[in-house]
Amino acid sequence: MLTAQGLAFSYGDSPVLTDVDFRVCKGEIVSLLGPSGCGKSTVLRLVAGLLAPNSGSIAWDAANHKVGFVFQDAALMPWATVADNVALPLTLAGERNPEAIQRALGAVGLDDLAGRYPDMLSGGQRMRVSIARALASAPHLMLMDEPFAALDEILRFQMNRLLLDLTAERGWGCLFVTHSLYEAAFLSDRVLVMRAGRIAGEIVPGLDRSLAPAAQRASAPFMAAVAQIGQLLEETP
Amino acid sequence: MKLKAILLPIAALVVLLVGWHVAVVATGVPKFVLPTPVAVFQALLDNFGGLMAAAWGTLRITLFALGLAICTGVLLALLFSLSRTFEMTVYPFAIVAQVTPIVSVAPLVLIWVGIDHVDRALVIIAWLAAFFPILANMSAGLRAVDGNLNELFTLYRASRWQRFWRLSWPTALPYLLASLKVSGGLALIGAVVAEFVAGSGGATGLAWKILEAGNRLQIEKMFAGLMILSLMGVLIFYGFSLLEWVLMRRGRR
Repeated sequence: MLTAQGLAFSYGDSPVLTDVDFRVCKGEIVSLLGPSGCGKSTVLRLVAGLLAPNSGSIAWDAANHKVGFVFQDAALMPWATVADNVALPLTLAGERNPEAIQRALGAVGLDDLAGRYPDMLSGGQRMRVSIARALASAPHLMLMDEPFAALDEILRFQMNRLLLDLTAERGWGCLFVTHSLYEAAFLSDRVLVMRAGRIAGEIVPGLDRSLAPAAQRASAPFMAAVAQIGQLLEETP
Repeated sequence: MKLKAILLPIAALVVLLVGWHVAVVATGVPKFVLPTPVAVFQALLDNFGGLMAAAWGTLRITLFALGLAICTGVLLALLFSLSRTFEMTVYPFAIVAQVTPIVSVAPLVLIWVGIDHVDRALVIIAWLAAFFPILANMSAGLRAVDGNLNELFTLYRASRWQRFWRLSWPTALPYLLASLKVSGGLALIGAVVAEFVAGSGGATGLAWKILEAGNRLQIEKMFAGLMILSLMGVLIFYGFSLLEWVLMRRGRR
């Protein structure tokens, strides 16, 4: 779906990213994990085209690709209803498609709340709206910047399962930034561990998805992946 | 709770008026120093037509100036948001216009504009008083756009117009509405100050009536005029509060 090669980016004189290579394939979740300030969010913004790299390239398989973006704070418009928030990508493209909006709301389990305003929603509901908005544009690639970091553990488990289900169903690629070793190990097909603007290593958890989520989290491959990620983070560069 | 918020001030007013009346009667203060509330009310009834006509004159100036302040304040804030250079160039002058006391500028405006068109001079002075809070708040509102939403609009290739109409304007609207409550009162103050300075040079508003009554030692008529003036200020404030509530309640039900 997408191949990034030799990406470099700097703010003025301070380099943020140096020589970053990675791929994201259709239907897979790739996590970017690392300490604050290691350049994870910058990678997302380069892929989204919100920033331009100083050098390196991002090559897409399809010429006409669509990208969805989900932020840590849901970034909803407080003056617009849930339905109008979800419709944003379509509205800006000059399209009207109430069915697509209803489908997107249904996919995140919020059919009943279309007419509500964001102030009336819980944190978990707001995040679901944010995901539904990304869904509405039918993206080929989902970019998620610590989307569940502000949610409590129970909600986070629910949202992780929702993301796995949606990824299986829609077949999009997903680039997922997180601080959580456990979340990365549970969600990802591959975990890219970043340190100081470079990719320090790649871990493939290889969980058995036929098991129940709790069983997956108790399985040996999950434990091993968490341990390996931790080790990569602790190694001196 | 709501009822309490209405009843308490009314009760306080009644106590105040009764206390006032009793104090005046008991101490025998001459009526050209402090008239009783009953005398004020009588003066209000006796001069009702004249006072109302004058009040309408002042209100007209106030609302006209406020409308002008909204147009210019919003327009200037929009230009500021489009060009930082323009903002840096012009903003200091807006501040100068704001901090210079209106009373000291008013005679100049009256000389320049007021000789042939007193009303125009009054509007300009009231506009000077009202326009800065609108400019400052609207500018702040346009700058308060959520960074993530802004990026999202870029990602979805929003046009400049879409970004303004669907993001900047709704973000700034609460700021604008809040500033109207302040500027409404300021426009009234500006109009009154302008009438005082204009004196007998053709101004016919409520402030002129108050001044005239004072010159004739009709203190009760002065009080009656003052009461109408206060009431106008309160009505303007609550009018804009109501507008704010109507426009903003959608998001806060």
